[in-house]
Amino acid sequence: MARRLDQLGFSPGETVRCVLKKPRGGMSAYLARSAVIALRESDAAVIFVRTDGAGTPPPARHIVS
Amino acid sequence: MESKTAVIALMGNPNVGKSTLFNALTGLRQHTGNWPGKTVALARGRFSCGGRDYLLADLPGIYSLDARSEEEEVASQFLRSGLADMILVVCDACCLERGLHLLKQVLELEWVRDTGVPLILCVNLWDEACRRGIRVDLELLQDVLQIPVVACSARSRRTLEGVKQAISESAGTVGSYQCLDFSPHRLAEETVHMETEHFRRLEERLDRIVTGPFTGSLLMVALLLGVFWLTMAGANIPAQFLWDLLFSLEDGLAQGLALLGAPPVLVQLLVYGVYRVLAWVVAVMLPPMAIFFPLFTLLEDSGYLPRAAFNMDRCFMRCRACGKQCLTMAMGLGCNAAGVTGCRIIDSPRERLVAILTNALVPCNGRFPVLTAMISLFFLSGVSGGFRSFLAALFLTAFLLLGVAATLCSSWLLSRTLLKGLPSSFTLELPCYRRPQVGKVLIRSLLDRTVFVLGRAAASAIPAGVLIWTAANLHLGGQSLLAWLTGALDPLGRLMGLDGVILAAFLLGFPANEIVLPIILMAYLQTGTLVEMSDLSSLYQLLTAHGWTWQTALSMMLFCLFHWPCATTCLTIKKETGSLRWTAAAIALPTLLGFLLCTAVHFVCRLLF
Repeated sequence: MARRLDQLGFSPGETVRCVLKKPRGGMSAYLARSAVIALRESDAAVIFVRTDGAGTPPPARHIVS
Repeated sequence: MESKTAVIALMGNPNVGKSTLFNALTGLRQHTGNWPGKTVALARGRFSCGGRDYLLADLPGIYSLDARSEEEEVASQFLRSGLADMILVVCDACCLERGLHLLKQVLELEWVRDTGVPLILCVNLWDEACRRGIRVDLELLQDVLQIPVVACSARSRRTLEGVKQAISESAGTVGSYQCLDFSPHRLAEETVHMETEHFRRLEERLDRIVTGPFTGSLLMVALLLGVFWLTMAGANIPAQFLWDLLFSLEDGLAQGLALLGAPPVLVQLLVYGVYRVLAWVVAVMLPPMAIFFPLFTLLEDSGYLPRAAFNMDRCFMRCRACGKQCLTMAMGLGCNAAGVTGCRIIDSPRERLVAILTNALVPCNGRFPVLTAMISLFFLSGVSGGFRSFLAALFLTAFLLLGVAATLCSSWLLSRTLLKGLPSSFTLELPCYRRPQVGKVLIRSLLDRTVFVLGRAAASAIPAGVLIWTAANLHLGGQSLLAWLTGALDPLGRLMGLDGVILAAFLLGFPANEIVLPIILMAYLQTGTLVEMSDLSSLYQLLTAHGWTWQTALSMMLFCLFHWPCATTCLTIKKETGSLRWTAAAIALPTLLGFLLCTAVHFVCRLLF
């Protein structure tokens, strides 16, 4: 799974942005390498991100690890 | 190389339009759809340009050459096998960076470096990128990569010439990739220019509505209802017209055959046995299919399906299944065999098995007409006008939702009994919305799906007609063979609210679900009941004359929805799972469910009415 995420652009140094979020443990979708990728909450939880202070809504996120 | 056909491998990320390009180049009709994983197997086709013949291999879309999933395995094995004389890497102009990552991996393959096989980068979906204000600097790209780079929009034939030219120019050349190195991220940054900052603004708004907690479900049901309503409302008039036309030919055909010197028995068999049923199949099945499939293909083309999977994922997660199962179910709606093959997009073997075993619980296009016919014959009497087709659509939607519910319940059950396990992780790509190619969709789905299903129905209706006719006229111990068979099945059928003939028809309909209703009609007609086949309602008279009530019709619909998959699907399941045990399970699961449901409904009806 980590490899697949890496291929899709959830890798160190890249910027991802949450574009869709389902309430109550549903999937959420992220813009990574200009494509929209949906992940389950449990999978998204293992990605470490640092929020971008600029804070354009919804906030941009940096992956640090 | 000069004499033999050059092999070109067509590869790229999922959903960048490889199959569309493949179709445009070869003139073949691979199914395409706007969601990742539509192509799971390898397809090949021939075309020629510049006086040379080429064999084009359409590889499944991949993100990398790691060979983690089945598609990646297929694609990377093909590349490593060294069969390709040229590689055409297709990428999406809107997501160039991902394509470049894959291109880099291809360039790093030892085999590619050693042989210097010619590579072409094809930037597809150019028109769409332009519309969104995305500009790609192709010259810079070509300068850095040192391979031919062409822009194209596979959907419009105009831009194909560039691709063909690049192919004929680089055929037979040897590239040198030894000292080629680039960073996909930086290269994409330098070559892609966005004219507007918020090129996804409209899409994001649309997505909020399509996947909203309330609006999402509402839209899903409304879309289903709308599609079914159009199908039911639009099918009536052509059905009546076809019926009149085909049955007005019946007498002429009988006379013509008699004039040709055919013996009366043969005329009877051919005209009143086979032709009549064929006419019925065409008149009743063709119109709804010809309306439903283009509509459904439009939905598929627009990019809605992955969003539906996104919405439905929570249900599938609860059932410990993969959210992509929603996509394979949608494929099953067209054909269960295709749905089973489509299950390859699910990476986890356990979840893939769950999806395969439950795929037959979604009604395929062979079973749809049975449902529509039963609804319009038995459940809408006394209702007329526009409300009638709306009510019919409501019924159909309810039945489809029942199929979905059954799929979820059986997935839940399987995940806790036979296929124990926790849900695994997966990624689901939500592609851009694309305007469907209306004209193309109409023609393709009419020609491919409708004619295919109808052809299959007709092809199996003829031997089935002969078989039924023979069985009804061969006597054994004072009773016809048909009577023996249906008599033996009758007690079981009665238990389920059906009768022996219906069960026999389902058994004989194993090669193709489309012929179940025709077999029932043939069997009834052979029992000597004379029914004036003047219009569509005469079917109703024929069925009621054999003891059908609305309860029989209900049980029939339930059993039609839940019974063993057709022969083609069973073979596909055997091929995909590689095990007879799982194939047997895939047969037993829906059959058992149908048997239990029908029996329960029958008993409840007996208690209440």
